[in-house]
Amino acid sequence: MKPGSDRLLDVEELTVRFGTEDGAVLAVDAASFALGPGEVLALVGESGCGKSVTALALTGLLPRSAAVSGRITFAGRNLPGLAERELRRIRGRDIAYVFQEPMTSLNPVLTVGRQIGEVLRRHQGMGGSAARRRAAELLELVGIPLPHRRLGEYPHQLSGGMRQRVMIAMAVACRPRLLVADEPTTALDVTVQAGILDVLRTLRAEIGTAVLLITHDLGVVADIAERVVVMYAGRTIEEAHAEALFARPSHPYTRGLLDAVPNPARHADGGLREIPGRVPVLATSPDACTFADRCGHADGVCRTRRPAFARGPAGHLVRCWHPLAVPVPP
Amino acid sequence: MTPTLEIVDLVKHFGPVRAVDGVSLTVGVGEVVGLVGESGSGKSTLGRCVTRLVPVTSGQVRIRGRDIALLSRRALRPLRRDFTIVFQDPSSSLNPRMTVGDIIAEPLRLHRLGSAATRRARVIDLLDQVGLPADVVRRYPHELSGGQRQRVSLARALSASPSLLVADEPTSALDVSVQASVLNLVGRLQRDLGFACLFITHDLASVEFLAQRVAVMYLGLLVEIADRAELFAAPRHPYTQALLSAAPIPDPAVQRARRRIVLSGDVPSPVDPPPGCRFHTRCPVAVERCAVDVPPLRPVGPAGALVACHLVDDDGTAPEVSAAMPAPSLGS
Amino acid sequence: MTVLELTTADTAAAAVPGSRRRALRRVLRNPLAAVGLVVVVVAVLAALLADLVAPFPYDRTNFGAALQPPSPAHWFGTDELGRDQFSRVLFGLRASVGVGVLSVALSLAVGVPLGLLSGFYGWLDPVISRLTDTLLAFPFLVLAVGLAAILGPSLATATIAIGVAQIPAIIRVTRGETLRLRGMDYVAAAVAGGAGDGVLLRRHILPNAVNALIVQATVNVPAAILGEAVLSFLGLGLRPPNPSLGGMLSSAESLFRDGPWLVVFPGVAIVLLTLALNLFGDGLRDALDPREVRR
Repeated sequence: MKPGSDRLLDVEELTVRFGTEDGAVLAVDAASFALGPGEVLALVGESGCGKSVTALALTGLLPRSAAVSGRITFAGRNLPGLAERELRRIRGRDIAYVFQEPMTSLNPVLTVGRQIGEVLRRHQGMGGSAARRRAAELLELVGIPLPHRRLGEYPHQLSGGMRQRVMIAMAVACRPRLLVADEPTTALDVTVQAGILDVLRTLRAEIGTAVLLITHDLGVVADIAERVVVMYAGRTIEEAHAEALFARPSHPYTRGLLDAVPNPARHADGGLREIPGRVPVLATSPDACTFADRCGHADGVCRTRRPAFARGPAGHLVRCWHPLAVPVPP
Repeated sequence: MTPTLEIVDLVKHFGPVRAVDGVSLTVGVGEVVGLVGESGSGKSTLGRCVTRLVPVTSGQVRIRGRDIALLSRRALRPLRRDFTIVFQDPSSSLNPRMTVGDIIAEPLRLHRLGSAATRRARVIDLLDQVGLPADVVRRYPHELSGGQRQRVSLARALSASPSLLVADEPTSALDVSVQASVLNLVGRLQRDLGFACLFITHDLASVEFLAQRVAVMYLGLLVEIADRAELFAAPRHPYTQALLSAAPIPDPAVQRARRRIVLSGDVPSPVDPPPGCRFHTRCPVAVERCAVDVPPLRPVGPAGALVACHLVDDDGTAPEVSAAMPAPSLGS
Repeated sequence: MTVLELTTADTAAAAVPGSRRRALRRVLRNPLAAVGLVVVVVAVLAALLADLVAPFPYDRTNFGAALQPPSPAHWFGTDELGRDQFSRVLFGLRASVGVGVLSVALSLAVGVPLGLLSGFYGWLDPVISRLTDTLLAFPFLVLAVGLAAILGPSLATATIAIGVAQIPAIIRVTRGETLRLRGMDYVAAAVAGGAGDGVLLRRHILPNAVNALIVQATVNVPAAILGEAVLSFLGLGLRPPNPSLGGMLSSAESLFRDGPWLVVFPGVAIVLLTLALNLFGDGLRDALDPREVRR
């Protein structure tokens, strides 16, 4: 074991460019973050910030039009250097994915049992009855009542929440070390969402899976994440433990996001804070803060020099020339 | 004063699907009522019934005293300038082949309000009210962002100065920072123009931000109606309690200390809703009676809240719903 | 397992008007479609300007120069009456393109309103569907022969027969689009704004169905041109001496051994034109169809 290998996943300077009709788009701009074994890390941002692209880039799931650079070290191996066959073995066995829309990820003409069984057979070489038994255990693990009966049902017979549970069961069938969950509860109702978040917690406790949670929902982050990385316009702009991030957001954008959400715990009077302007779509990485045009604190430095990802006044990483020092009032 | 909207025993069935199954709700003049429910509760169908975008099966929808529930589409058309609706999806709620100016002016043109010149002036005025620059009149919807499109939708809805606005999840498809600006805008317009608003959403936080009263819907029926402060401080119906406890609060210090009620099972099918209280199959505190008798929506407590639950006393005392109690699953 | 996030913005844009120019740009990036478009434009120009371009009138006979193979004087050779084949192909092209365009126009004029009504009013749907079924069950050639018997063989007869035969396809496309668009929120918003059915159909549904109809038309025009060729070949189309590509093939049939060029040039013209239209149509469909996800 070489030093620093207490990290399960280490992403360094990940950059993703897409060639589109309207020219190149820089989707991820030198993003760096790390994830320890069994840790729950949330990658937070609004649409177009690059969080989903980052998740897909980890195991080479992006379309061919994407140019990916940077280092992605998973359990000591550099993933971009691996052949597609190797990657395929890692996908599903060591790194599993759960996406937002469970219906499109399930095969409508196969029973739930067949689909979970297939994963077990492919990756673990299990036989028919063993696979069936294990599939029922998995359904029980993700909180599906009467698992044996559910095995014989088709995806359309299940509710959205049940389908997402089935997806999670399939994802964790091989006890992956990392579960990448891309907006897993966005399409679901809050009462169902609460159950899915509980399932993620259970998995972590029972099989020690680390979770990379991609979400835009700060409520979900507050509920489950240990650490949070905030992304904006392709860059990671703040990284902190969840409590610290919510109590002492240092980047004006993070602070803006927190103030934009109606929060029953902090009765905002006189309206919600708005963030003027829109997220920029960039072709190249500017020598400037990408948030400068929307930021009330921006000055000449912000517009001409790229801020580094460094420790701010609150003691955690922030990419800002003028990080905020004032904590959020309780 | 006659309330702006009075829904009486409204029923809407789509074939065997009992989407709305006897709902009564009032929205006073200039009042914002939040209608909260999860998918399948029938809240959007209720909104479409109120604006008569779908035919009503039975019941009354009185707008400023006049029942429009069963009027013919022809008879309805001249009355439509008084009530209107804004939809959720900004990508499908504007005609991609019309300019923003034409979109906003359409209700004015259809109701023959004003001359071409006054309509143009009105469009510019409306754009200003929703916070858009005048030069977007000649733009097409695809040239605008999601938040800007919702502003155009609002301008169109308000162009004929309606007295009732039904807002069907107007912020759900937007990014967090954009949601804030649209919520602020709806609040400001409502205060400035004084229309009544039925604000339909699954997002409790935005209801708490905007509404004066809140109605909670479950499987085609209302289970609780209360003033905002009362409902959020002391929800009475077990479903309302579960819903409130499930919505995460964006603050880990608060959220992680909360007691959460996790409901087991799924929302039953509206084709064959459970007998008795429709929530009893998932209710952690249900008793035998709940599976038999339908609880009426009745006034409880001193502030005039309405709750449909056998276990809530007349003085407003509600059952303590304890966390994560697996309710018996009554088949699939 | 790939994600469509990046393509959705694209595909949404494909459904809106400012993007039609963009769509055309996208078509031209597809080399086959671009070649198709060039061939179509050249053919249409040649057909329109036949009077100016053609070196001879199409009916000028010259018995001294009958059945000559291609030469600098007669690029495509001459027929048994000594008529210049190049000139006749140009005029034949005009007839073919004319029939193609007019018959498609006819099918649109009848099919679009029926399709709109069928998709918009549920109670009319079964009636119109029966009508389409009946039309589909009626063989195209039988229809053409019947019409020719009544009206006499002519270009108009061919146009009507082909147009009528294409009506069901237009109804089907229009009806499908109407059903889809009827469910859009902007249609509901127009109803809420006080719009009647006429406004809904005219302003909100028809303009948004146009893309699908353009695509259908690019399929129908070459089919109509082939149909005209078939009808003229069978003697149900344009009457001599007026040239049409199909008619030229028909009269050249018996002379194939003595003058193969008489078959080759009109035949190649038909093949090239329909192929080019199909290639361009395919490219256009890919560029306009939002469901077509490109990588």
